[in-house]
Amino acid sequence: MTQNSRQPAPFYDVVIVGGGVVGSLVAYRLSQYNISICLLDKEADLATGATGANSAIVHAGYDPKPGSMKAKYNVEGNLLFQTLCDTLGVPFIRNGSLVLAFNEQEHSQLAGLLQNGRINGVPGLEMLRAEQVRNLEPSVSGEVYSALLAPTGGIVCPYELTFAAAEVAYDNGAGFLFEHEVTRISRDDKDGRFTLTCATSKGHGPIIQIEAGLVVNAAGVYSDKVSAMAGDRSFAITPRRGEYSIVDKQIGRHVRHTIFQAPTEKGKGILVTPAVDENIIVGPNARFIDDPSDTSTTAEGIEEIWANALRSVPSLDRSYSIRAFSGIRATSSTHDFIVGESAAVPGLFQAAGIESPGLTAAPAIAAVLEESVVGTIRRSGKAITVKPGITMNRKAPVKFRSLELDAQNELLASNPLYANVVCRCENVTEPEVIDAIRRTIGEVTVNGIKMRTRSGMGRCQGGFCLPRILAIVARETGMDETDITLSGTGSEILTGRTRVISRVDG
Amino acid sequence: MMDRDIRNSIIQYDTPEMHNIRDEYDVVVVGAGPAGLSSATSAKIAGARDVLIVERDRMPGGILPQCIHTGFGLLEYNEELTGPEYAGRWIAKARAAGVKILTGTIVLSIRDTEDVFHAGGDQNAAAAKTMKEIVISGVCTGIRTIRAKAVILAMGCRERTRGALGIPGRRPAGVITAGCAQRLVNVEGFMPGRRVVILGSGDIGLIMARRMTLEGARVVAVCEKMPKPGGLERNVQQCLKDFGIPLILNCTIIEIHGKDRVDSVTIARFDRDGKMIEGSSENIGCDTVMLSVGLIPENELSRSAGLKMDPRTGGPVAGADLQTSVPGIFACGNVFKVYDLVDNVSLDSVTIGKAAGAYVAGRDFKGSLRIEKEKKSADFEEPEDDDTKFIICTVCPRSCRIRAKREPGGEWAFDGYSCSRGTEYAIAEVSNPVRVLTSTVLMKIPGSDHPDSEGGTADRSIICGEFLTDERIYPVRTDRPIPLGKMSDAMAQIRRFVLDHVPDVGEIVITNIAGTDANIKVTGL
Repeated sequence: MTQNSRQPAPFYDVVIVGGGVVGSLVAYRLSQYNISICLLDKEADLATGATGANSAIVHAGYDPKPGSMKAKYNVEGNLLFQTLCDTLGVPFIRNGSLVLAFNEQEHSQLAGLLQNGRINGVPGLEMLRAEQVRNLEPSVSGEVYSALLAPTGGIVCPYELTFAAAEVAYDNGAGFLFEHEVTRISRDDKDGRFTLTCATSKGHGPIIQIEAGLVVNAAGVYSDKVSAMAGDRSFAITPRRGEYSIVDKQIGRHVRHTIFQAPTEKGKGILVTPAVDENIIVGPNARFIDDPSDTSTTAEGIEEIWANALRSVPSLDRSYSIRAFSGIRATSSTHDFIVGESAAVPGLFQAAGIESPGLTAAPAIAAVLEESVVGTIRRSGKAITVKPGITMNRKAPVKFRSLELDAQNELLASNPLYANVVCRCENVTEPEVIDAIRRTIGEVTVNGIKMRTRSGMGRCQGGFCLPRILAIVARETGMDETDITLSGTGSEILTGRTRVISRVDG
Repeated sequence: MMDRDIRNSIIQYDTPEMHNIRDEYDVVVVGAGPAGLSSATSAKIAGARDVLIVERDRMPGGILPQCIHTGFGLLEYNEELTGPEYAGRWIAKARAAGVKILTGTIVLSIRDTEDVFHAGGDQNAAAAKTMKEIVISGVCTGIRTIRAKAVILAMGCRERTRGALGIPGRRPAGVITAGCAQRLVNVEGFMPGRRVVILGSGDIGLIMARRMTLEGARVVAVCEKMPKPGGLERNVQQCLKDFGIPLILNCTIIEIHGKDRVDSVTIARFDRDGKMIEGSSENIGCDTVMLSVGLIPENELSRSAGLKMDPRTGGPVAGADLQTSVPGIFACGNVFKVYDLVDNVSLDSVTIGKAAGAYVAGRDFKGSLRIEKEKKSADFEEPEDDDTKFIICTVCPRSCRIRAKREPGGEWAFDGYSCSRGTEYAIAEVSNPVRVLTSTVLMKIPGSDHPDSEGGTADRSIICGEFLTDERIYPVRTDRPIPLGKMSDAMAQIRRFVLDHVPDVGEIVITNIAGTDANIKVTGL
């Protein structure tokens, strides 16, 4: 059941394929205009692909090759983050990054990065000697030789940013359709209109068709397939999996900076970083895989990331890890982001191959796509203007645990349920769960509530709060408990009731 | 009579008594599980004037209300009680002693204040002890600070998770800890799966193997990484062997498969050195992975209160006077160390309650805790055949291992027992094994609609005050053991049965279940 469902219209000025951070930010920016827009996602909720599973960091921009799209959008995106997060009520911390070198050879690599960064326009880069590194970040290995400090590096919760952007877009009138997987795209050469054929509810629902004036392809690891459906076969995506481990917030203050190692040909290497919610994230490795949906973790992968993480921060206690996960990055055959209108298919706008530093780049990519979409619509003769009365701001949802006592008491006076702690690891209260259910634009799922409230994200991993979450969702939505899913159709949590009243008479 | 009192006392938790919380107590106990109930009662009897238990769940008992099986009270009462019955006894004792229980309320923090008290009226400055400050949060109290002379920590433990183990593979629906599944099945009335592989042979996992089987699920296997089962031998017998559920030792799950819901697991076997045996991996189809892989003392509150922890037990360090490293703070039950038997939790917690009572009264206290005996190893490799059976006696917690051998004349001979009750038990086991059946019955008041079916009403709390609805399940048991062979008939009858009124604890709701002469009675609320 879609919580905030809007009936799909037969035609939209713009259809966005993909509800990750890029698609949602594009929807956010376009939702201010007097055009009809709709975002489609094949999953039940936003942020289920790479956006939901990455390092959650905002890169400074010293790494990408100068002159590349990655370099351009990384540096531009980084500059936009503070304002964007303030506007959307999303926590963002500029904690700074350190790239560690353990020997003379790695040190010269850092010199290369510093050079790169300066060309890319990254401010404040500085080379630190071993003792300076240890002063700044005492938990860094005593073996450290030197480090590159990038003070503009930051951390953000990528899915919270995505939810926030989508909520504003929704309030501004944007349509959202979940469990709608695009299976075919045709384009009428006369009027340039697209027809998108969608399978619904993972193939269990009817097939529907939606017409669109323009299409934005933000389909992540599937962006080559979506592009090809529309007629542009100029690039291919190879899924590349990265595995991570999450460390209990009990030792979350063990590191303050995002700690990288000198990059290898395999990638930017394994990092150790604090997260905005006080956990520590360790990872990722990088492995090319065949199935773009295969988010498995492997024993060897987790060993690999920990072995490397401990090289940077030897005192990090692995026994505090509470979860492993993996994310799939969309590595493009062009080795760069693909952003802008397709040369082969007019009206198709690409945001493809958005791998690292994609989260950082997302606000800049959304801005440039907004500009080109608006320009195209304007050139078609339509008067495109900002709608009156819209807002681009979002008020941050209540996080009762982080309020001062006075503020807590004020909330309690109006709603005593704030005293009811549903998730004891993360101290999430009942009204926060209710608010998350009401804010959800897609299907209400247990994973969705977890990502919006952190209920179930702590050290007990939902063992305590799951029965309570099921009860609250059933009460708030009218769903039967047995229909509630972890992450959409087919992932029902319960298989039935132990006792049912027999409906047979006599 | 006593049962009626228990029920009234539970209902009372939603009466004005709850809103009538004082600013100061002699002893505040965190958690109303077996450890909290018994330590609070004992502290009160030992001389503490006002004792308050703060419990986060909607009813007292801790984990016991979901442990609807028998096996509690053998040491303390020489009886086989179910969890709800055992909890009922301690709730009644606590109430009788005058202990106050505040439910639906969580303790947020504990710290020392600047104020002191003089225990036992000794005005000597050296006898001054620091008052504690406890911040609580609940729907009935709001966020409130109360003070106490002593605090007893009895928060229990939590389960190790998939994340802590790092089981590789996908992360679909259908991976659940055994304790969470137990709550869903026994308290909420939901089935978490149909075809189950259980990882770990801890007691909760074994108990849930039987529970799921009785409720119609198929438990395909219980995998244990160690060469011996982790749970009590009685549970291996009564939960696995009774139902023919395979226990695979030296074996673990190495990968979980399934995109939306679990569809299979890969298991592999290990040699004596803990190395995976090459070529031993196999795929088992299932929709559920249930984890019973250990318990961890829940000590977030203890750490935030500054208690020194023992890395071996995972619990706080305690001295000869049974205080933790912070004077006036005591810890008991699974917070202190993970116990096998609830009876031992209660008996030790009584000792710790006495220590807390002595502390507030200004008396010296010396005491020591029980040491749980190592369980005897079960050797499952020993062959059984038609004429040789190995029986784990479950009459008392000693768990004697009795060998039954059929003589050429057809008579059975036994050895390995320690008392005559053991031989009686063994005779029954080889001729006609009998078991107490525990389950749940549905209660629905005729004409009522399920209150949850309307939706969108946040005016009530989930945790506080929602347990007396007009449609819910109640834990039940047979009042005497029934033949093992009658279990499935009895379950079929229980499944069809609907109770039309709110029962009393101890009320018989089905007589002569499955023609066995045994009755089904309600064990808790």
